[in-house]
Amino acid sequence: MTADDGPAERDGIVVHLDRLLAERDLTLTELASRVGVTLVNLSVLKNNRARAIRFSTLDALCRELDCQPGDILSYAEPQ
Amino acid sequence: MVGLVRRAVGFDWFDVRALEGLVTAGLVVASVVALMALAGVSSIGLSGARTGTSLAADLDPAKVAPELNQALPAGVDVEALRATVASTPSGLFEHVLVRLQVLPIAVLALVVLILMRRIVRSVAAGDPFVEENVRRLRIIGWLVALSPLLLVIAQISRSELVARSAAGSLALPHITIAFVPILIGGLLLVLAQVFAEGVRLRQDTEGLV
Repeated sequence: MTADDGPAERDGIVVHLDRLLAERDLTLTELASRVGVTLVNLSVLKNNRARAIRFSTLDALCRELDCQPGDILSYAEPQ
Repeated sequence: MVGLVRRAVGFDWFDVRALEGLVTAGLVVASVVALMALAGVSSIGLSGARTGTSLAADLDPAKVAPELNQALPAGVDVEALRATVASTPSGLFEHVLVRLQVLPIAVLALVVLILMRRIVRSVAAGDPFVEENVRRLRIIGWLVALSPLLLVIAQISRSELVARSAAGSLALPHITIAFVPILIGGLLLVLAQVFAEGVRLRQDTEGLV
């Protein structure tokens, strides 16, 4: 699993980081350094390839993006 | 990522390199011993090596010198007389017997050391909790646990060679079974299972952001 594999389709929790980045005109690199997560890991998260997320990461994302967890994550019913 | 883990665990890079060096050195020694065993060396000690023409044998004092124990104080008994027996192995069977004294154990040691080096290398690479290492530990565990069998075969081979030599009628029949390797082999199998749990834990943190 690498960050460069591109976005993945996923049932269940979906990550909307790309939308939030576009809305706030932020690059992934910029956000990664502010949040304290490696660019690779943030890319994995953005592409729906993460298998687990720490609360500390979620804290930092909400802080830097000035949003709620529900803005970053949503739940799609598995087919 | 690997660097973070190493720093968190207090890992000393030098420890792994030293370990790898030790195992490689052991591998070289084991290879030399195996080659010598193949050539017919039947035992190796600090005083030198025995070839197939010289056997170490324990002789029965009752058969060699019955008056020996009578000359000793009460409660003191000579149980065995260690002797060197000159023998000339002839025929394929006897030459095989000569090699069965050391070769099987030497090959086992070689296999174990090769597997050990692969495990140490995976540690050096920063990712030891993989399925292959569980398999390697299991193989090593079984090999070590069954090694007493090879030791018994070695002893039987030596007894048979002594029986065929000039000292045949004087020899003391004597087989020792080592139990510690069975215990250690069992321990390694337990550790392999612990490792399997480690693999599961590692898989859980893969993709953790």
